[in-house]
Amino acid sequence: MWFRIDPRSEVPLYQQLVDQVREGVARGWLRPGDRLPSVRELAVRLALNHNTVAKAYQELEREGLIETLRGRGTFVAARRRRPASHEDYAWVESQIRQLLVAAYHLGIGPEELVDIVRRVAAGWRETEGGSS
Amino acid sequence: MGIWNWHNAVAWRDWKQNAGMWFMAAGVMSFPVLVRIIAVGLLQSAVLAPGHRTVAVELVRAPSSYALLWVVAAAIFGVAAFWREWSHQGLPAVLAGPVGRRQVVMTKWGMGWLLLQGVLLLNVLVAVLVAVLLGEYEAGWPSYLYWWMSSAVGLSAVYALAFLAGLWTGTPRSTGWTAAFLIFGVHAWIQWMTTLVGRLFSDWLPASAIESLRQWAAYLSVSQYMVRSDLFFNGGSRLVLLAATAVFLGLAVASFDRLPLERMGRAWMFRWAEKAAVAVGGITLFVFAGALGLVMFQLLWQLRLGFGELPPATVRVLLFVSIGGAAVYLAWSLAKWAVRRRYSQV
Amino acid sequence: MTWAVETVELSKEIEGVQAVRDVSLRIPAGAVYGLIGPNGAGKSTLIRLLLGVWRPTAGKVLLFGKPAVDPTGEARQGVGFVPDIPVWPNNFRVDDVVRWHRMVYREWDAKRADALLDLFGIRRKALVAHLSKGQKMQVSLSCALATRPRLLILDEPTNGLDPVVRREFLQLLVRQVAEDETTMLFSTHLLEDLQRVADHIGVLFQGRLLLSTALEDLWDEAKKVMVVFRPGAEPDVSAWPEVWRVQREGRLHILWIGKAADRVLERIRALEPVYWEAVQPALDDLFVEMMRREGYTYGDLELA
Repeated sequence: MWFRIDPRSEVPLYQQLVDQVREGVARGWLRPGDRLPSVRELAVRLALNHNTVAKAYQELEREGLIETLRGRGTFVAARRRRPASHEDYAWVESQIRQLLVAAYHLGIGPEELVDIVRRVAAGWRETEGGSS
Repeated sequence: MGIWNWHNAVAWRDWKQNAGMWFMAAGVMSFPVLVRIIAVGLLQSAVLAPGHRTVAVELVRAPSSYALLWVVAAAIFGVAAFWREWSHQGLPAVLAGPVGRRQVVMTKWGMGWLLLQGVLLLNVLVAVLVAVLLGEYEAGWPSYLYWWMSSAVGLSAVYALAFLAGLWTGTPRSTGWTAAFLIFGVHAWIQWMTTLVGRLFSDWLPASAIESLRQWAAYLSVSQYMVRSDLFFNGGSRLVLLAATAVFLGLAVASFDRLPLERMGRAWMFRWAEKAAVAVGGITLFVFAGALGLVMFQLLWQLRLGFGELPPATVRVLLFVSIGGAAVYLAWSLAKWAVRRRYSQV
Repeated sequence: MTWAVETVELSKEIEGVQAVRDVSLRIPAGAVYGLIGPNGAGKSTLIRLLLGVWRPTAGKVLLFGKPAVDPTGEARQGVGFVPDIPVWPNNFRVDDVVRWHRMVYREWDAKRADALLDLFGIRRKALVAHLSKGQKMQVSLSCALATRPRLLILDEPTNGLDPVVRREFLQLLVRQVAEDETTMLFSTHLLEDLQRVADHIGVLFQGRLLLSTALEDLWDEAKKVMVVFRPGAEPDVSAWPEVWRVQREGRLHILWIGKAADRVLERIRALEPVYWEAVQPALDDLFVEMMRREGYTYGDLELA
């Protein structure tokens, strides 16, 4: 399994799990319908309190990334096709602005940053090329 | 599920860790009767050897001939109860489980006591049987009965005292010393001390008082009840010993209930056992040093200086006390210094 | 409500030293309670008091509502214990230790004991005294888990174990809690283990229980707030009782809030600051602040 938990990190343990599932879904490691280990299995495997794992799953379910089918297990949910809202775009833009500021102070101009984004994005989603 | 009876568990654990000492004790105890009979039977077809015909009867006639070994055996039985607990400090692990303190102490007591009485009974029966077979039972049945009763009660008291010493002292070494002193040495120690003081001040202290103190001291050592025939076959002393055993048992149960087991599982509550030992040592040193000093002074006084009469009693008492006191003070400071030095080096 | 473990103003004095003072502790059934504190804080003493091995100088201990100091030992039926240093008679083999547990505990599960010992690869005929510390702990844990405890108490269970065995230990403990809904109390001086496994936390320092709470509540209650107040409207935040400590960097205030963070945030919001942000503090930083607030040196608290 690819979960990596670092108890020394400032990020709460359940948040680490949430982030990793979110990343997995975004990058295509987890596809809709993939089965996730049960709370108990994952807790034992990672030696984590099962409340922590349960809380992460709750959070993921609230966000609609996973769904629990009674008696069958927990699965990665089908992707919602909701179009991004204005707020979403605004948020992404604000993040990019912050990135631009940081890059500028490192001596990286906007054009170079766009190149970097393109290069990283190309290798980022493993399954992008073949299946879709 | 299996058997979960705690009584079995505690008894089994005791058996596991104490069996060695119990066998040793049983061996020591059986030496006068069983081993002698077997040896005699093996070495020379004994039954007819006239010198050995009385082998068993002799035990009844003169209990003092074997009493010391029996007392030692009973003391080993008693000391065994806690010896290993203190040497490996495993008692807290037991008490952290669903095992009651009272059950632990009662099982320990019961196992040792039953074994002791079992070995005793076996010895008595074999001795009597041999005597009957040899036609030497003229001592009479009541005397065999008294013999057995006195032994049973006397050894119980010895066992109880050793058990208590083990429970109270908290280390194997001090268990051994304390038990030995309480069982064998109390009267001897008091007798030495009183005799020494009595001799030194014989012109001043009433000799009868010293003598009666010496006599009374004998009753303080449990072993004396076994060694001295007059006490051994005495119904009154049997009652005294029975009462003492009961008191010791009560004390053992009550103090085990309150045993703190602090400091790595040792019985730290009874540190005063150490203090008592220091006090005994101090008194001994005081009396011996005072006596030695006084004797040397008297020799000087009479031989070198040529005075015929001894100096008055008050002067001698003063000398005795001050020399003894000085010696104790010196030893005490020396010990303190040594302890400090040892710790500062660590 | 019956608590799995409840102590009432528990104190223990050993040779004139107050090893535990006025500890009132409540552990709900099903909780995983991590007791943390530096060496010598009184963790082992507290555990021995909980088990009734030692008698308190004052106060009392209840296990599932029954006094722990129990002449029959019945209160400890269903209470598993893994000591920091397992001690057995010198001639005891692994088999004998197993047998002792089988005889003493009513809910003994022989299959589970075998499975666990096999998992650890422990030879049954080995003398316990000859085993390594880690193996002794493994035997101890296997036996404790095989008693199917309602309450499992562990004294520094991962101390001195190599990383692999330590991980195995934690996994077993999590599984035990998940499967049997066992209440667990363990002491440790490693925050990492605590954060992973525990959902309740107690901080013991110099015999006093500084904090005892559910981690969840702690995250709600404790916050690190960064705030820039409007010029001229700077309150004296250090006088607020909930604020443990204030650090200043220029106009930026960093507030450590130990409890009732909501109330403090409300007050800050009411002051309409230029900028504010509340984050969840890392547990080790929180401890450092806690110790500092108590006026203790915290250098000996290992914040691994």
